[in-house]
Amino acid sequence: MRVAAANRAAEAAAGIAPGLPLADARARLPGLRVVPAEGGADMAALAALADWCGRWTPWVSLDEDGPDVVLGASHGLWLDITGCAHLFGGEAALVEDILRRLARFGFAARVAVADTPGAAWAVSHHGGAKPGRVIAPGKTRAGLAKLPLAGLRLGAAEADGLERLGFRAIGDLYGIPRGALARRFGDGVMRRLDQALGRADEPLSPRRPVAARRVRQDFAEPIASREAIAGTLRRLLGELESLLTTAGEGARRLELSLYRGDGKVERIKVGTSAPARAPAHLMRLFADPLEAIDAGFGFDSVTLAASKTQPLAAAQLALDPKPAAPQSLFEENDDGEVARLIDRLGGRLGLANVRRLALFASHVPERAAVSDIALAGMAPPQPSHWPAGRQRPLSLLLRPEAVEAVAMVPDDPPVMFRWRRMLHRVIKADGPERIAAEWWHAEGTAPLGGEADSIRDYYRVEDERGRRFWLYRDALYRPGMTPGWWLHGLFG
Amino acid sequence: MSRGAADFAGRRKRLFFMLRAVSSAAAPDAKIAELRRHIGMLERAGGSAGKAGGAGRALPFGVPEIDAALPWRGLALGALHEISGPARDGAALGFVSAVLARLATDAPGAVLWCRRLGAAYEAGNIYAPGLAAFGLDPARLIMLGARHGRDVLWAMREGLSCPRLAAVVGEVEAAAVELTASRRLQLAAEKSGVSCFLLRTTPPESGQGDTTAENIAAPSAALSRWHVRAAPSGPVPGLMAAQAEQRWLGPGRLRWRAELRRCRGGASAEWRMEWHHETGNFTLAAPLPNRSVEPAAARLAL
Repeated sequence: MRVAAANRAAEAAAGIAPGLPLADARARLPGLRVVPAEGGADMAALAALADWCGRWTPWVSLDEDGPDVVLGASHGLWLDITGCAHLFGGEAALVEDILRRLARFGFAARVAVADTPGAAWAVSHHGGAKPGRVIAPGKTRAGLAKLPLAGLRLGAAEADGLERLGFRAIGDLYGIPRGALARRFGDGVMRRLDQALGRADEPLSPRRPVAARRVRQDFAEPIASREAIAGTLRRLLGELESLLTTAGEGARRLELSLYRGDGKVERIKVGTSAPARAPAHLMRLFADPLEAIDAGFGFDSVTLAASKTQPLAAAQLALDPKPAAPQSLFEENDDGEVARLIDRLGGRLGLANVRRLALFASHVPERAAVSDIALAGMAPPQPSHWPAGRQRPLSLLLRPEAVEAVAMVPDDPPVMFRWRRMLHRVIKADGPERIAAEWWHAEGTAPLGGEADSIRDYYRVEDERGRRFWLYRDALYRPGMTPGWWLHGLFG
Repeated sequence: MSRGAADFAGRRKRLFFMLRAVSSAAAPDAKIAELRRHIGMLERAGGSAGKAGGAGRALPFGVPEIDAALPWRGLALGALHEISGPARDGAALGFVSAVLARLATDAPGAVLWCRRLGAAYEAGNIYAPGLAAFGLDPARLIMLGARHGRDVLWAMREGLSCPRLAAVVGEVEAAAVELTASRRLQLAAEKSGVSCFLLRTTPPESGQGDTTAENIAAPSAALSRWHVRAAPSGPVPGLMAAQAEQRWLGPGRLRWRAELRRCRGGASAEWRMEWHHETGNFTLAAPLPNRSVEPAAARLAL
C-alpha cells in the first residue's frame, strides 16, 4: 500500500509524499492518521469542482495525463483564462480570488498562471512555497529555468535517466541539442519541454461545451431571494440580447448556471422552438424552472449562456404601423406571438407535446394523417387538401379494436356489433371501401397491420341512436377462418 | 378568490330580481333600460370586454330559428362556450368541428386544441382527413397534449392570452372544471377576444335512461352550455328513387340533437341540426321519416 495523498503538515514534519509505501510513512510518523483512498469519489469531487470553476471561465478541463494521477484521479484542473482575467481585476487578483474561495471549502490549492499549460503545471507543482504565482507573459523561459526537472511531467524512467546524467533544473536542458536528447530518451522529453516553453501546441478540451455567447454577473454578497435571482436573470437576458443582436443570432437553447457559495452549481436549461432573443419572452421560459431551484445559502455568481444559436435577422421597424392580415398560422408578421405561445406551452409541457397536424398523400388510414412537432421556425404549412367524397372519421382510434359483429352475408355490413361491451344495432351502412396495404413497402414494414398482403373492407355504419362508426372487415380470404371485424374510427 | 366570485354572482342574481319587480310594477322604460345597462356592465366583469371587442360580435349559425333564440344572434365570440356530449359518440366533437370550421373561415389564425395525452386511448386521435372534410384546415391546428387535466386548463388560459389565435378548444373530463376555473377562462376569452370551447365528455349513453342531466348541474361561467348527441341521419343526398330500393342505404348528412341547456340571457332549447359538408352550413333537420328508431326516452324529452 502506498500513500496517495498527504497534507502539508505530514509533508513538512516527516517528508511524507504521495508514492511512499505506507509502512515507511508509519515508521517515520507513528501517529499518522490513515484514510483509505477513494479514487472514484475524488474524481467526482474534482469534476464537481471543475464545474464550479465555470464561474471564472467556461474553459475548464481535468488534468488527465500528468504523473500525479494516482488511483485514476488527478488532482489538477486546467482553466483557460484567455480574455477572462480582466473581469476579476487582473491575473494576480484572479489567483487571489481562486485561492480565497477554495480555501473556504477547505482545499489547499496551488495556482499558477502562465503562457502555456506546461509552464503553469510546472510552477503550480514545483514552484516553491507560495501557493499562487503568476509568470508574466513572455517570461516563461526565465521563470522555468530554476525549477526541478520533475516540473516537465516526465515519466519515471526519463526523469531517472536525466538525473543520472547530471541534469537538475529545467534550465539545464535549454542548451542541449535536440538530437542528442531524442536519441537517448525518445522525443518525450523534448515534447514536454517544447510544450512548457510554448514551442509545441498543447490543446485542452473543455469539460463542458463552451457557448459562444455568454454573460455573467458576480455578487459581493450571495443572493438567495427569488426576486433577486429573477432580477439578475432579466439583466443578463438584456445583455445577452445585445450580444445576439450584434451577431445576428437568436438563441435556441439557453443554459443558466447559478454558482452557490458552497461549491454546488444549479443549472437550468430551456429550449425555444425558433431563434429568439427578446428578454421578456425568454424570461417567461425560465419562470417555472426558477421556482424549483435550491438556493441554499445563496448564489454568488450567475452565468447565462446561449449554448445553441441560429441566425435571426434584426427585426425591421415597420414604416407602416398597420399590420397586414396574417394569412397563415406562422406568418412572419404575426409578431411571433404564436411562436412565443408555442414556446411557453412547450417549455412547460414538453416541446414534443405541441404538435401540428398535416395530411399525407396515402390512402392507408393510419398514414394519411401525420403530426409534427410544432416548431415556429418551420415554414408556414401548406393549405392541405382532402379529396371530397372520401368520407373519413373525425377521430381515429390508436389501433383498430376488435368487435363482435354479426353479418348476414359475407360481403354485407354487420347487422349488429358489440364494441366495448355495448351493443349497437346497425340501421344504415355504406360500403365497402376496399383499402389494401401498400405492397411496395418491404415485408413487415407495411403500415397496414404490418402485413404487406392485408386488405380491409371499410364500412360507414350508423346505429339506432345515430352514432356513426367506421368499421372494417379483414377482406383477405383465409381458408377455415372467419374474417374478423374491427372498429377504427368515429364520425362526427 | 372563489368566495369573491360567488358573492359576485349572488349580487347579480339579486339585481335580476330587482329588475323583475320593477317591470311588473310597470315602471318607466327609461328605468328598465338603465338597469339593463347596469347589469350588462356587471356581466362584462370590469368592462374589459368592450375594449377588446369581445362583446357584441357573434358567429351566427345561419339558421334563423337558432340565431333568434340566442341573445347574441349566434354564438358570442370572445367568450367561453361549453359543449358536452356522451363518450363514444362523436357528435359533440363534430359539432365543435363544424362551429370551428365556420369560425375559421372569417377569423384568421390558428386554433389551439388542448387535450390530455391519455384521452387518445379512450377516444382516439383527432383525424386530420376528417377535420379537412368539415372544411377546417388541419394545418391551422396546434394540438397540445398535457399530462394532467390542470395542465389542459393552464394551456387553455395561455392560449386565450394570445389574441392571434382564432379559437381555443379544450377537452376535459366531466367533473374537471370548477366554477373558478371556468370563470378564469371566460375572463381571459373576454379580454383577448379569442373564442373558447370547452368540450366535456359525459359517461357513454347506455340503455334507456339519460343519466347525463346531473353532470351539467355543476356551475360554470360559460355563456352557453350545449349538450350534443348524435341523431339518425337524413336521407342520402341525391339518391335516385331506384337506388332507394337497395338494401343498405348509407348514412346521410350528419345530424345532431343539440340541446341548449343554459344560456346567459336566453332560454334553453333543443334543435335537430344538420350539417352540410359541401357548403359548410347548418340547417334544421327535416322531421324524421322513421321515428320508430328513436329511443323512447328521447321522445319523452321532446
